[in-house]
Amino acid sequence: MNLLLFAGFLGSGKTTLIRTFAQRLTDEGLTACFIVNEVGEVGIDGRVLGDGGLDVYEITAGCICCEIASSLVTTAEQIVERYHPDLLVIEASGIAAPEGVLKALAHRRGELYQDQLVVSLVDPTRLEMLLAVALPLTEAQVRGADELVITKLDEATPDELTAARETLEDLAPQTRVSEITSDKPESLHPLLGRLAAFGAAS
Amino acid sequence: MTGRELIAPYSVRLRLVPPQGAFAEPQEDVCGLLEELGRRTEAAGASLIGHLKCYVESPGGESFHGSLTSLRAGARCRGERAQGAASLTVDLTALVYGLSGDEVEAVTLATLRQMQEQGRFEWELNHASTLEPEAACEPPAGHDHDHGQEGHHHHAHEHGQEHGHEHGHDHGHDHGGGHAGHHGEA
Repeated sequence: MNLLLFAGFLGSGKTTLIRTFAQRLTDEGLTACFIVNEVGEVGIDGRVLGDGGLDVYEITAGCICCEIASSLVTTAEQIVERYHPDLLVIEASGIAAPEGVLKALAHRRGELYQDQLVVSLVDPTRLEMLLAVALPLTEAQVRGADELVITKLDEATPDELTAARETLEDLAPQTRVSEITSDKPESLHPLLGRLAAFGAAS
Repeated sequence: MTGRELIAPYSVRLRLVPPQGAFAEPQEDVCGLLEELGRRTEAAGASLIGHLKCYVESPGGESFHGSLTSLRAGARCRGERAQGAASLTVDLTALVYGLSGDEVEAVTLATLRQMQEQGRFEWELNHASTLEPEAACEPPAGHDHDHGQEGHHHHAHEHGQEHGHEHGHDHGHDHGGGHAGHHGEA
């Protein structure tokens, strides 16, 4: 089993992308289980994904990169024991640092899962404000990614898009950057293809 | 430092009842709720709306979800339309930078009262909780995962049932450590 971690700030589009990605996995005959973490006490995203027919484990009331990391490990162990999926997909909370999530699981790498991939989503319409309000978090989410995805192209102004590209280039110059928008499904195909191939490689 | 020390997640379960018989367009009313809540959080001094989101169910089992990340983009609802619902159960989470949990709660209640006064719906608040900012969320390179360490102040304020107004709070404290659940068939 491989591990795919989706990170990115609150409302950056993680749940929406995962719903679409899940359909791609199904089309390719791959099995996946999903862990969704929300920092609030009441889970929303888990039910949204569950409505799409996905097998979702929900961890709420804390952040799996620090506060309740032990819950993540326990849940991952249960999933592997019960289902042996091709891919374990984790949707981190919007305030999680991906490095913290991976660190929580690191001692089980090689046993629970083999390879890992971190995809961080970036909302260009709010990036400037986010850098002002939560710079360390933003840097952690960008620098901790293996692949970056700029979302909401349809909502961003040209200046916002340019600024987002420049910011990501500054923070993570070696990291691949994709650009997607939900109103143009074709914009998702290359990214989803790479992620599905990662799942198939387990 | 990540972001947990800057945010006090506020969650609430509401029951909304239309002024007459049934909701004609429930998604419009829920989007209106999210947008008014967003306006009021900014007016109250929020430095950033992280995410206002909700999951909504009708008595007939229809469901949809709503989301607002900025006033510029506005709120969006997706899922079943639930037209004609006689009531709606709304699980709402507000993740807002720059306001305390108590401030977010006050804004939420003020929003609900205003919408009731406008004749949009009547409301009952069945459960609410605020998780305090988590001082122990430290840099990934240096933290450990043990709970109960010094500076760890994870607790929830819970409130009992309210009907369209504020009095009758039942403040409690829940020293929780996360909840796990499972949606799916497998």
